[in-house]
Amino acid sequence: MNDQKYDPVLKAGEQLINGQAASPGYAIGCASLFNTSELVISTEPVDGMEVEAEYQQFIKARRIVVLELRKISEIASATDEEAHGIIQAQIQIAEDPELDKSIRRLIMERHYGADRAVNESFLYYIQLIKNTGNALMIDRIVDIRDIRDRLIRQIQHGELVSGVAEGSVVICDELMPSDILLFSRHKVIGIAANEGGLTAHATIIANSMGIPLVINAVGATRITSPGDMVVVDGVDGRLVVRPDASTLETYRREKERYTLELAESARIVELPSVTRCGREIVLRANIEFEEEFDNIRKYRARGIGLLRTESFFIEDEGLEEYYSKEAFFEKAVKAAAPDSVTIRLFDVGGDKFSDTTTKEPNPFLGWRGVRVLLDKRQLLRSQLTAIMNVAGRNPGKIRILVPMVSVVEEIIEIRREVAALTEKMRGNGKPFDENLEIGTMVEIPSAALIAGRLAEEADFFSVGTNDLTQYTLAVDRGNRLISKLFQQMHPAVFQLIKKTADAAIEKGISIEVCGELASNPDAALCLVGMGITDLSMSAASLPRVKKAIRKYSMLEMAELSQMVLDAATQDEVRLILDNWKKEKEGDFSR
Amino acid sequence: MLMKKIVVKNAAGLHARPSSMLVQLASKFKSEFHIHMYGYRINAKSILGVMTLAAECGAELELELDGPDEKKAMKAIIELFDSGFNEMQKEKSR
Repeated sequence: MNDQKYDPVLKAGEQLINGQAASPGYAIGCASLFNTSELVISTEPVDGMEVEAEYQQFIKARRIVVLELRKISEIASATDEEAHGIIQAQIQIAEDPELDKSIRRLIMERHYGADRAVNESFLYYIQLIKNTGNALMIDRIVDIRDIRDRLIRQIQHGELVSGVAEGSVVICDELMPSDILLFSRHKVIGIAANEGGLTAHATIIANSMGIPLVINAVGATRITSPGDMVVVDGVDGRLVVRPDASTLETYRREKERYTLELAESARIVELPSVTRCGREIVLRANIEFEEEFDNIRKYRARGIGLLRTESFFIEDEGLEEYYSKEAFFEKAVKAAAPDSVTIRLFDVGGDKFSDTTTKEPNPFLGWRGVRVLLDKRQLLRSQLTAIMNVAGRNPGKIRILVPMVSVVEEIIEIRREVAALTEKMRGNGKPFDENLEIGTMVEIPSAALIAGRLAEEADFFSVGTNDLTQYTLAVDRGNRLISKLFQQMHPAVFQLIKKTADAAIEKGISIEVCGELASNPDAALCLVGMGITDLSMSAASLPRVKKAIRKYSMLEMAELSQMVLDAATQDEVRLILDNWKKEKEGDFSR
Repeated sequence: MLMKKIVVKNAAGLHARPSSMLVQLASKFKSEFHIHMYGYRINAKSILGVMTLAAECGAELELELDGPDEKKAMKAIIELFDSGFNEMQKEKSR
């Protein structure tokens, strides 16, 4: 499938900007440029006799802006509750009594022009909000600026010239939530913006309205002219300006395929996740960011099978921040309800710590995962405390997953830490989850080989297929020289997974696969065939895996996995899979 | 004049939507409404003012109400805080 995709090698005449995918889908059409002119603020003082009239100009502008927002809000309330809320807040901002006082004072006392008074007053608040360092608030600044610019434009009699043609692709600087709603009324088919953030509301609205959006497409407004043919690739985060005929053709195909896939997955999402013989397969979502929580419901995932916690560390650049992450875990539990959340303990390499001086010659074979946690007990305890506090309030809804376990002692040591913290919580009279499950990642061959013994210490297994492939085949997946050897479907990888599954089933603990392999429908069939009935993957992959699983019975998949386990090479595995599927399709029963 | 200490309970804190709800509610009453936090005193009928507090979950605020309907206003505002700004309710209704 990948080889059909757009090859980002520039053809004559076309220009490519790599941005960030913010709302999926493809749009191919003529460009409209929006709102790219800078506002010019007056600097001339207002005559003392004119100050009251100047202030009245602001009042009049505000009335029009609020009316306009109400109109947009009406459109929004029909389509999107969240957008409606944002615009309500924007109306409150426009009518803010303190803002009004400040603007009035600047006009009356300093003789500022109304536009300048508006600008200065807003700047003051924007600076204060920036100073809070609160990401949620800082993302809202774009909505506040939107109001400021509307007021200033209105005062300057500059109409909000959109110049947006119906059915076009909008290229703009920065996106305002209300703009997206206006765009959708103009039947805009896609948007690319020079700037933007994934958590900004404009992004959320674009998603909910199904408009493909690429943000951080730096220079988009500079290289695009109105009427240019453009492609917005909201899947890979690209903007192609003046595409060459073959690029256009590639994207037309891609768009068609995507549309079909969407319709298909919408249908599949509603179907139960069962094999042909009626056995339920638990399909969960891998999640890292709060913005992904909605996908759990959208794709009917049975909770979160892997909640990654690394991004906190990288974003915050400090361990102290960890304590505040209880709120994040709490939200994850809510998003996954009534199902559970499996939280993987902090899994990074030693290079992320500023106090390490030793440069590791082999970081992938070095100080990572649980090895770091056991050496950095404070970090471990702060994370465990946060997780266990939330688990105490939501018993049975959280499981802990320990990364990079290579020897049994590591999981025993983590259990000891959890037990000590539990005692402390009991002593403090804090609620705790008595049956908090602790599982280990199986991603190192040694762990797979001693899975039987590991199963005596762990409550469940979760197979991480990326690292397992890397360590089994001794291939650094980031190394281009040997990238062909990174074979996730190699029989050796399957054999280790089988050994782990057998041990788990024998010892009566649960096993799941949370790696990339599970999102490959063919591989998923093999995994289910090994008796692994619990898979976790990026939520968007769930429909296609479910579709595959529903076609076959447990027995059929068990036969398939046996053949795959006996193969000698990955190519052979692929061949077996292809032939098997063809043979099954030949059966008139499907 | 009434004063009362209160803790922000909803997980995401007093972000844009709760700020908007708070201001909307407060504006229904005649009483003046101020919030004290970190030594600041802001007009809580000003959404921009409330947003600059960026009060996170667990933050302690002091509410100050002054006017003819201060008791009624205080009761309604505390209820809104205690409900976690209906965030859980919103989750359920989705």
